[in-house]
Amino acid sequence: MKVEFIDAGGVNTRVIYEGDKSKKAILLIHGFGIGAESWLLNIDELAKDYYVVAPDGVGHGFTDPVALNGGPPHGVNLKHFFDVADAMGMDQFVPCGSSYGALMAALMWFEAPDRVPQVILNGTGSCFNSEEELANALQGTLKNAGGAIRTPTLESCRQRMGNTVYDVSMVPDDLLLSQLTAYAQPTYIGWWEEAMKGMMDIPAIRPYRILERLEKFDVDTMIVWGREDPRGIYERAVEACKRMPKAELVTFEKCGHLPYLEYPDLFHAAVRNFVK
Amino acid sequence: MRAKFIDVAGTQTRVLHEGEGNADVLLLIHGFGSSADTWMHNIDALGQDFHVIVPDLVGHGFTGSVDLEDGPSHPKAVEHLFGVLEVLGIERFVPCGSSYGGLLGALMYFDAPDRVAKLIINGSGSTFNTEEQLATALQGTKKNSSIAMLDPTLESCRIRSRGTAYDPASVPESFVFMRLSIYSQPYIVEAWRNQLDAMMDMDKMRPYRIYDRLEDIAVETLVVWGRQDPRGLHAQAVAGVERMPNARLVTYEECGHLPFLEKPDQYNADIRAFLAS
Repeated sequence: MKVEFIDAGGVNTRVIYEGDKSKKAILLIHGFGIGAESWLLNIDELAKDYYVVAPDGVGHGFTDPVALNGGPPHGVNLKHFFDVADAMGMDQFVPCGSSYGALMAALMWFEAPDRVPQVILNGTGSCFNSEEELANALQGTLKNAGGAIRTPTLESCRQRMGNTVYDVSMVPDDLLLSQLTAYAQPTYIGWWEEAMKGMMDIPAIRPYRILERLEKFDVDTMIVWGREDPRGIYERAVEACKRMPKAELVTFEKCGHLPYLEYPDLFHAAVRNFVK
Repeated sequence: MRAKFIDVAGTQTRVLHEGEGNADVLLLIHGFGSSADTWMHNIDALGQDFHVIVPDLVGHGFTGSVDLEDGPSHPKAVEHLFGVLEVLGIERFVPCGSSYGGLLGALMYFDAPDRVAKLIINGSGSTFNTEEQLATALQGTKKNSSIAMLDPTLESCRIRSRGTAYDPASVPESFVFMRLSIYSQPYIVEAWRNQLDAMMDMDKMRPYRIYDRLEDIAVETLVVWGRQDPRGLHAQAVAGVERMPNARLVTYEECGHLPFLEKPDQYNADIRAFLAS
C-alpha cells in the first residue's frame, strides 16, 4: 500500500494505491464523510490481482475542498473521480463504491460507459432509496457523522463508524487516528456542512438520481449488501437488482453498511469472482 | 483524544490533546521524523489527570515547515513549541520529550527555567550521547528512515516504525498507517532531509547540546529508558543522570527507544506517580 498526493484536475488529492498498472483497475470510492482509509483492509489484498486506487474525494480525508457554490457536491465529485482516474493512468476501470460513493460509481458508468466495463455497488441508500427514504437516511448521517466531525475524538470516530456496522468491534483502530486528524482540518467541517446541505436539496440532486432509470443501467453489476444495513434498506436492494438488466446481489449476513470492512475475506472472494 | 489545527506565528500546526484546561500541563514532544501520533497510547490515559498537549514539531506530521536559515532545527523547533504554548495560553508546564524531543524539552528548561515545573526525558541519545555516539546514532536514524521517507509504503513504514522497538508487535498498525500518509506529503520529506543534514553538522549543533551542562539542570527530572534502546545508549543515561542534581532514572526491561509506546500501562503509571510527588 502506498500513498501519494497528486494533482487531479487542479485539486491536491490523497490517493492510496497498490498493484500492477497492467492489471485490471479497480477504483475504490468511499462514502460521504469518511475517507479512503475505509478501504484499508482491502487495498493490499485486492492489489494481488488488480491495480487498486482509492482516492479521498474532494473535501474528504486529505483532499482539498472545492467550492460548491450552493449546489450539491455530486457534479464536483464526479469530475474529480474522473480526474483521479486520468492522473493515475486508468483508462478502463471498475468503480467500486460504498454508500454515496456507489452512486458516484454508477454515475461514472452513465457518463463514460466505454471506460467502465463493470460496476460494484456496496450498501447504498443513495442509489436505491426513494427520495423520502433518502431524506431520512441523510438526517441519520447528519446526526451521526455531524457529532463526530464537529467535535472529533478518537472515541466519537469509533462510535460514528460503529453506528453503521453490525458489530462495533469490527471497526479497526487502524483508520481512526487518520480520521481524527482529517476531521480536525480547518476546512473540513465547513465544506462538509455545505455539501450536506446540497445533498439534502432533493430537487437539486434529482439529475443525479439513478433509482428512476435502473432499467437503463446496462452494465455488468455486483451489488454487495449487509442484511442489517442501517443506512441502505435491504429490500430496496432486492427490488432494484430485479430492475437492473445485468445485476446480481450478494448478501452478507450479520453485516451492516460497510461489508468490505466488516467481512473483508468474503468481500475479496466476491470481487475476485466478479472481476475476471 | 482530540485533534485541532492552530496557527502558530504563521505555521499551521496540528495538536492532539485531551484533558481539562485547569489541570497541570503535560507537553508531549515527539522525536525526529516522528509525529504526535507516537503518543497515541498516552494521551487519553494521561488526559484523565492532566491537560495533555501534543503538537507536531515544525516540518513534522501535519505541521508546516519553517526556514532553517542555514542552522540546525533545534532553535526553530523550540521557538515553535513556545509559540504553541502561547497560542494555548499556557504558562507553566512539564515538557516530556522522546529522543530529539527529549533534548528540545531540556532546551525549553534552559530557555525558561521558571516555567518548567518538572522535566521528563525518554530514551534520548540527543541528550546523553557524546558527539561521536550521536553521529553514529544519526547515521542509524538516516539509514532506518530513508527507505520509508523516500519510498513510503505500508511495509516500509512498518519496518521503520518497528526498527527502534524491542518487540515489533508493540508498534500499532494505526500508527504505521498514519505515518504512511504523513511521509507521503512531499514537504515533509524535504523538511526531514534538510533538518537531518543540518543536524549532522556538529559545529553548528554544539550550542544546542546539553551534554556538557547536565549539572545545570536543577529541576526535578525523570529519565525513562528502555534497556535495549538502540539509539540512546543505556550506559550513557546512567552516567548522565548521575551528573544531574535532581534526576532519577527508571529503566524498562525488554524495551527499546519508545518506552511510552512499548509499555504504555507502566509508563502512564510512572508519569502519574512522578507528577503527583
